[in-house]
Amino acid sequence: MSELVPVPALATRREFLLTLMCGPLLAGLLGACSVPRRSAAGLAQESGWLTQLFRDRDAVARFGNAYLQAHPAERRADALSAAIHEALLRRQPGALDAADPATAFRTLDAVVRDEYRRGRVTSVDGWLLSQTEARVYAVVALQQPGG
Amino acid sequence: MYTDAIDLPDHSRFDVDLAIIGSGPAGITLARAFANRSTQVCLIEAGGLAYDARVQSLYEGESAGIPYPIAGNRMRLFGGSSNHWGGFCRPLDPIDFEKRDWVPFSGWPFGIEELMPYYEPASVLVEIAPGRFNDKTYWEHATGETIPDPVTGRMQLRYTHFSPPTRFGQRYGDDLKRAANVRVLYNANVTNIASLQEGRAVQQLDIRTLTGLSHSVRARIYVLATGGLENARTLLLSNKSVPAGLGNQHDLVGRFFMEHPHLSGFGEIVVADLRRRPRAFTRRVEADGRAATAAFNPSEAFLRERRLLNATFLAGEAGPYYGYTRSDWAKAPLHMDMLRAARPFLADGSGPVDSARPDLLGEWLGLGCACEQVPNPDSRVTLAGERDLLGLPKIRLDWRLTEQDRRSVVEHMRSLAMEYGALGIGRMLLGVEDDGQWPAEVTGGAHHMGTTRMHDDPKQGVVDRNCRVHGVDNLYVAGSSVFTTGGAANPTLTVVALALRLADHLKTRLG
Repeated sequence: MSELVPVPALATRREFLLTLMCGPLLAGLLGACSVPRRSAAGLAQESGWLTQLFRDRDAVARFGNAYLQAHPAERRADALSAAIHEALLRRQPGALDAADPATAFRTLDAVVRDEYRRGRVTSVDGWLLSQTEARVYAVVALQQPGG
Repeated sequence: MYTDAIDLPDHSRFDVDLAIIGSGPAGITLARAFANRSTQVCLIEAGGLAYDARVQSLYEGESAGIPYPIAGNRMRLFGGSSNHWGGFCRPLDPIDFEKRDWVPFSGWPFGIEELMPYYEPASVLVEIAPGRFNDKTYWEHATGETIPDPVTGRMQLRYTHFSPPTRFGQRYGDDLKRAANVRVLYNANVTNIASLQEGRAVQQLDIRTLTGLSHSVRARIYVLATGGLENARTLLLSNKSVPAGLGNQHDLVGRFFMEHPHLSGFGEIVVADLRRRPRAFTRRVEADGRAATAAFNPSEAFLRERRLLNATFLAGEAGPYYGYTRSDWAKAPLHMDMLRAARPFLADGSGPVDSARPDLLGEWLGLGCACEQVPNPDSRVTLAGERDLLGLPKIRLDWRLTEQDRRSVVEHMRSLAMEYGALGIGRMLLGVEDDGQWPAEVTGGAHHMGTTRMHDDPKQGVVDRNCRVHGVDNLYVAGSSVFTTGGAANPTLTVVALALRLADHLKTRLG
């Protein structure tokens, strides 16, 4: 999966995220520039684990594409993955350190539920979805053939 | 005793202490409260003891606003509209009684504490007692399931109870028949409330039958209890002494008609793992002989923070989806795709969500909502030009909703979607966009409220806090027409509670 995602050439993951976050595209997207320090290992350097969460990626892509159609400025898998990872790290520093997607998913699930709770939601094809959830679907859509 | 007005000699007259017009839940509750006492009571019903299409046609009228089945959601026979009542019961919420600065014309003359002593005996009458409307622990124990608390701060759970439903005529008719002091006079249409002294006191009720007979009833006290539409029409028809209609000196009778707007197809929820959804969220669960379901209602704090109107949401299981499901319904593929997409968030592990049904994707829930609307003087009942079989002007209803009502509904729908998402139970498809337009299909719940609203100031209400018509010494109104605001609870339980309260007041007055 990771071959579809540009691997950052920056020295550390933290630098990569900060670079993305402080860019004009993501300044509003992410809302914060504080990134916990983390190890270089684990899932943070790839976004493929997100895709692996889903068995029926066509169904996921349906909603991901709908999201991207409404938010064309976010049509970048690396930026979306960074935004998702940042949301996870804000919730649980070290959430991506382990190589186990199940561990990372638990944090993702908590992030998604918390966004519903706090009203960080967006309308996708009529569905009211958490912001991060919609971005996860968008990442999957971009990684589908033709995405 | 029961008396058929058609069998009486023409121009018969009854003299009693208390005349009650209308034998629906309010009228029968009142009459029953006086049964076997010294007070002589005449309970007057326009219809018969059984349904008759010709009699029912007297309820037909003109709908000038949002299309409304004026005859279809009332019943003109003994027992009134309880004969087709769905049985949904819940008290109003405390905030419903308050004067809210964001709700024009809100504020009952009293708070819920005034009605609390009457809700429990009312619950007995509608056969749901004791009410467990807010008791999550009770329902968890009863169902053996954990019922999660809402987590967004926007919503709270309340338990709507289901009456059998009580058909008041069938259930309590024998009580009235046995009571020597109560006469049920049926097939008796009150065509005029005749008043003296420019409407300051009622002298008698003029009654006619569809067979052409004329009778009258005289009483010390009169109670109008013919439902939220007919109460207003009857007062407007009683215009011989007061041209504008009895009690209508300030042009308030018939105004402020309120419903609970029901939106069909406003959204659906899909649920993958049915174990995450307590049965009480989607089914009637039973305990100790009563049935209830959990309803999502906005929290008071959220209503105040966002300055919204009240609402009630109920969900029901509409059907399962399997991996092989093929449906002609356009939404089915959308539902199924969402179940597949959100599967990791809505179910544990990657195995089947139900081991007994390995192909099950999940189910979809149909949603029902009943929403409060702001009291609106332009939403009103008047008299139509066309006349009924008795030669009386038919009713004309102009039901109107406002942008404030719509905005409130849409926000609550979003809250419901957020709640199901935050609890990890489901995802919601909203069929109503926040586009400034009401959906094409808005219906009512046969809840007719506000047309003789209660207010201490005669310039702001038709009846006072005791339900007495302002300016008319011996005329009272019972039923949901006295509601100052409608809240979001089905009104029958409150109608019965108010009738019991009125009975206490009248017992004091009649001695």
